[in-house]
Amino acid sequence: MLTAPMLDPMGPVLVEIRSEFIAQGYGDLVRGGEPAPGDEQPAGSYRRFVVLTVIDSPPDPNVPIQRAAIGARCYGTSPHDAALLYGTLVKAVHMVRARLKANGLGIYQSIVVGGGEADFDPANQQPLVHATVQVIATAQAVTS
Amino acid sequence: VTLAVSDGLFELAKQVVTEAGATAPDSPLDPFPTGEGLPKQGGVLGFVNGQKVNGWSLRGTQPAKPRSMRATVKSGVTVVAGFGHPARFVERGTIRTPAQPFFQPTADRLITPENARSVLEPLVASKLGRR
Repeated sequence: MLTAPMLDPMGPVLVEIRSEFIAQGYGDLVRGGEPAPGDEQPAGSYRRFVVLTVIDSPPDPNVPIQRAAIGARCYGTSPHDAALLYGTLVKAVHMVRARLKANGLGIYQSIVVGGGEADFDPANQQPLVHATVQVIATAQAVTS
Repeated sequence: VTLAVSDGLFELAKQVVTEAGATAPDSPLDPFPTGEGLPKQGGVLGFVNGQKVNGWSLRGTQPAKPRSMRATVKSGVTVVAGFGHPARFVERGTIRTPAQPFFQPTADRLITPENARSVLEPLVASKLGRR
């Protein structure tokens, strides 16, 4: 049983991914939940951006951890560009081992468990690549 | 034993798809009437030693092997469950519509050691001649 509300893993993971994109020179293009105003553009004017959404994050029934599945959609200006964004996302979180975040969330490991499929958004046909990131994290704040 | 386990896993996958279909939102991308689109797009395929041994779908037809299914494991049991287009965009969202996850949460709720045992045990035990 938890002694405090379960922590949301999305924020810390988003910050990690955003930091990697900034470090790679892409700037701030990672969104949480939905695209930012102006991200949707017609063909020929596509913009790069990445949308993260929590697919689910059930608490473990036996121990105070959670296994979050975070879906990512990497929108590029072309299929190749979308694949490059996907590669940057993989570098940011795949097989990254234990770390403790500022809010006390302990992440045991994050793994890209699915993804790489090229696709097109049905709304405006913008090229994108899907990814699924599994995050195994504490359910409550912990100290080092 | 392998075929019995395959049947058990297939049944578990059917349970996941049936329950996910009951909660799947109708998609505006679908050309079907209300309740006849995404909620009935689900299906399950079973393979043993690389050969298809079972297939089932909510529509009653045999589902096609998914495009993204890279390879069937050459030995052992492989069971694939899921929903066809546009399930991915409903589950993950699009530029204009928010994500409405319906499959992964159902799978996480039902694919547990306890539930898997309750589904597999009767099937496997009866085929092996004991309970």
